[in-house]
Amino acid sequence: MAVDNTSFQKKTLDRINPLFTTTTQSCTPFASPISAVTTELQSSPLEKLRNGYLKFKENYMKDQTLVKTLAEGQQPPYMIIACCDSRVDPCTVLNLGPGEAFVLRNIGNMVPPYSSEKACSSAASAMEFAVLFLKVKHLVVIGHSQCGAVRALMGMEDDGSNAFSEFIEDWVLISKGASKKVKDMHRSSPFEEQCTSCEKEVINTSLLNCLSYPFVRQRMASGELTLHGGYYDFINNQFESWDVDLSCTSSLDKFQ
Amino acid sequence: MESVDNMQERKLEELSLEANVACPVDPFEKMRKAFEEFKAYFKKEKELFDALAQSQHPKWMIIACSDSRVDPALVLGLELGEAFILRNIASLIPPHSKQSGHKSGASAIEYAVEHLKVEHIMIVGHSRCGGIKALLEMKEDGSNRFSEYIEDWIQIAQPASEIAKAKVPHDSPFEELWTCCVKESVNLSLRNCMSYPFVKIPMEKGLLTLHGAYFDFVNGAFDVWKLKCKIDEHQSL
Repeated sequence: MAVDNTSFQKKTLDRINPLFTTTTQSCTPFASPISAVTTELQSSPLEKLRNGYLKFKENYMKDQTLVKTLAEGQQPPYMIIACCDSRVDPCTVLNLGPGEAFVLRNIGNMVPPYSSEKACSSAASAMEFAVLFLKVKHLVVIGHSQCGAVRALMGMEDDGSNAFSEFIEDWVLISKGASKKVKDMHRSSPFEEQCTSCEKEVINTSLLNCLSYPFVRQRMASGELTLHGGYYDFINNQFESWDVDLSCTSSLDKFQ
Repeated sequence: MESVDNMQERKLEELSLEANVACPVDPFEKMRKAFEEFKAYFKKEKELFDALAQSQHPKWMIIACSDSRVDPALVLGLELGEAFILRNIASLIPPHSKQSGHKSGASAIEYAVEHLKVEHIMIVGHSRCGGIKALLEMKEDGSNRFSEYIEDWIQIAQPASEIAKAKVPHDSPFEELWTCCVKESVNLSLRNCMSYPFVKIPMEKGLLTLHGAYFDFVNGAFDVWKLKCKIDEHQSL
């Protein structure tokens, strides 16, 4: 496991700080370097971000054509709906650069269904902007292994007797259809396997809920938008993808 | 000697490969190739990924705009496992409310703070934010309404728009008002974060720090600041 920097820093500081007080600071020959090290350790949460940004800036500013283009506007071909999970950043995993993907992230990569009731919806507003104004060509919902939100959903008792949060359960209940389906179909499977199945069902529920928005259906029907599911399994280092097909059969029968 | 049939078949295959590379039809082709490279990186960093497969322990929660130009992991060089990331239009967090409704921001923050025990929350605004521009251009009577959902969402930042319009002189270029409003919107969202008890309590104990940030991709700058909340010692009158 990568070193847990904060607890290591705290332990180091706890050991170093008592070693010098205001009375000994000027006496010990080690005060200055120790002081510098402790200052560095204390400021490192932002230092790392600063270093990351400076490296990004160096590369980004080299391509002045891209900088000027993106300064004027964005035309990403993709909208991606992904989980907040720190292990599944879609741009990192799929090597998407600045300007390539408009990204909505929430816990469990969930999309509430269309409702005519006026509601303050991050997902609906983001999809409306991406589909109607940015005119993205592909809408991709990406789920992943070991999803905490799906696990919370699967662990919920029907009577709410084990409720543990103020907001998390209300949010994940968006996909209660997915958990019900998995529990019915895989009744005898171990909980872990049920969770994996549910992670994939949640992606499909989100895709179907995307389809419940008229502006999504209209652009799909006109061939200007396609919907895709993606599942990132970081245990086995695999990525599956699938398409959503909306097509009509040719005439089956004529009622005469 | 190659038969004519085989030669023609081989030529056709070569041509179709060339055509695919020149005009890829499969939208996932690029991503598939990228994932192959990522897999190689994954194998190289086996120890890190084996640990991440068990659980995540990010120290940061980052709230950023959905804008394609401001992916925080890219911009800040974050490695997988370092930051729990919420993204929506204009990186907005509504204030705590008991009203029913789907709370994507509240649920994500609750999970990050209570379960992942993140130590820092950073809200990142950015230059040329379309959501904030729409907010600034909204007419009070709603006569220029253009969307079903976008304006209702962006209205969360209405107090920030009022602050910015009061701060920036009327005859200033629009860009100045725009920049000010983005920063005030970040500050508003930071204050709204504090309205959640599960944020306020660890903040007061010094276990959680809130940061604001502004990414200017026009001029290549990244500013950060902290939200400080100090309750002074009581004084007897």
